[in-house]
Amino acid sequence: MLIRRVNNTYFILLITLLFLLSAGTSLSLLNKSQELLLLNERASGRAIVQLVILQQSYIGFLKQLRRGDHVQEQVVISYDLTWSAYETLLKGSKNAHFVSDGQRLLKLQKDFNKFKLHDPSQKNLVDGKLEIALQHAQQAHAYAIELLNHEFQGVAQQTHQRDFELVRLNKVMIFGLLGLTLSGTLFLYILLRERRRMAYLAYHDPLTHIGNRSALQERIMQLQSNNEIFSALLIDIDRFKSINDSFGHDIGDKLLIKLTRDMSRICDKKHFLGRLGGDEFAIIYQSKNSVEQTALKLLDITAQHIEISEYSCDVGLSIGISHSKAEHKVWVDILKEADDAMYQAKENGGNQYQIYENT
Amino acid sequence: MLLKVNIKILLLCLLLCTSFMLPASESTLLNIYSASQAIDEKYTLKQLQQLPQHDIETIIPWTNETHRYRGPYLEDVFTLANVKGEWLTMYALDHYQISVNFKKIKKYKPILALQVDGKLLTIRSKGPIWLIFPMSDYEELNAAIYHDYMVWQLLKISVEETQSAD
Repeated sequence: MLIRRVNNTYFILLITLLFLLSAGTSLSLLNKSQELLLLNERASGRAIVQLVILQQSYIGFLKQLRRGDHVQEQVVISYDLTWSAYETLLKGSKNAHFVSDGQRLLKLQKDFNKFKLHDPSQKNLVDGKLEIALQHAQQAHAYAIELLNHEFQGVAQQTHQRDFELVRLNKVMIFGLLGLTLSGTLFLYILLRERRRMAYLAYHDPLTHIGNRSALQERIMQLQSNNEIFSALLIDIDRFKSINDSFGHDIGDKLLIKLTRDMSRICDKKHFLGRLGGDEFAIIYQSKNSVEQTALKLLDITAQHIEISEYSCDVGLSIGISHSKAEHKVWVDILKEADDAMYQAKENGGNQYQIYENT
Repeated sequence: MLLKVNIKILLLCLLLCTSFMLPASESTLLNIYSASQAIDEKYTLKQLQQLPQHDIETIIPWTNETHRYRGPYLEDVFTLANVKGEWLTMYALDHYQISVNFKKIKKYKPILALQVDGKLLTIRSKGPIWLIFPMSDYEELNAAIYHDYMVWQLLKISVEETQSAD
C-alpha cells in the first residue's frame, strides 16, 4: 500500500511535469507564430510602387515643361505627390526588408534630399535647373525601381522562410498538444479512480471489505420503500474484547476477517452482510422462512475454538433477530428491535440467537 | 475727409485680401458621388469647415509621432450630401483607390482631416483631405486592412448600395 502511494505521488509529479512542459511549449510556440504572423511587409512594397508611379508622372511633366508646354501647375502637384510618397516610404516602412540594409535606406534619404533642392513652387525650373532636376529625378527613379525589385525579392524570401518556420512550429506544437491531451487524460483517469476509491470507502469497511453502516442504511431504506419482507440479524461477538486485550489487536483484526469470511459463506450474495463497527455485524436476510436455520449455522462457526496464528480464540456469537413490520417508521427501528433481542441473547449467556418479540 | 479715405483704403485692402483667399476656399476639395442616386456634390474647404469639426489625436504608421487631426465626421459629410449606401469607393490624387463597407468603419467615427496640429493639410503633408481613424483609441485598428482605409490626398468618394462590379 505504501509503495503504491509513493508510486502514485511520483506518477502525479511526472504528469504535472509533462503538463507544464507541454503547456509551456505550446504557449511559447503559439506566441512565436503570432509574432511571425503579425509581421506585415505588404505596406512597404506598396509604398515603393507608389513612389515609382508618382516619380514617373513627375518626370513626364518635367519633360513636357522642357518642351515648352504650360504644365507648371501639374509639375508642382506631381512634385508634391512624390514628396509625400518619399516621406511615406522613409517614415512608415519600419518593417520593410530594405530597411535592414542601412546603405539602401541612406541612398533613399540622399535621393530625397537631392529631390528637395528642386522645389518648383520655390524656384522657377528653367534651362540648366530644369535639366539638373530632370537628371536627378531620373537617377532617383532608376534607384527606386531597383529598390522595388530588391524589396519584392526580399519579401518573397522572408515569406518563404516565415512559412517554413511556421510549418516547423506547427509540427512541434502538435507534440505539445499531444502532451497536453495525454496529461489531461491521465489527470482525468486519476481523478476518476480516486473518486471511485472514495465512493468505495464511503460504503465499505476498510478492514473486512464488506458493507458498512451507511451501506446497511441504504439497503434497509431501499427494501422499506419497496415494501419488501426481510429480517435483520444483529451479531455481536462474545468475549471479543478479551482477545484484543490478551493476544493483541492484530490477532483481533485477523479474527474479524476470518469470521467475516465464514459468515459470508453462510449468507449468500442475495443477502446483505455488513460490519457496523467494533465487533458488531448485521445481516439483512431477505426471506422469513430459513432465518433461524441460518442463525444456527452462524452459531456453528464459533462452536469450536478458532485458530489464528497459533492463538486459540474462544469466542461465541450473540444474535438478535427482528422481522420487518409495517409500523417501522425509520430505518433504525428494525435495528433497535434486533439490538434488544441481541442483548437478550447476551444476557442469557451468549452463543445463541433470540427473536424480537413485542411485549 | 482723411478718415473716409482711410476707410476706403482699408476696405480695398480687405477686398484684395478676401479675393486673394477666395480661390483657396472656393475650389473643390471633395466630390461625393453616387451614380445610382444621381448625386454629384462638390464641396469646398469652407463648406467642409462649416460642418462640426472634431479632433482626433493619434499616432499613425506613416508619421511615427502623435498629431492632432481636425475635420468633420465622414458620416456628417454623407448626411450633408444626402447620400445613402454602404459601399464606399475612395479615390485619391495619387491614383490610390480602395473600396470599403461603411458599416465596418462607422463605429470608429473617422474624420475627413483638413488640418494637422492647427495647420491646413497640403498635398505634401498628405492633404488636402486625409481620412483619419482614432487609431490610438482602438487597438484593433492597428491592422493592415484598416491602414489601407486611411486614404490620404482624398479627392472623391463614390457611395453605392451594393458593391459595384468594377
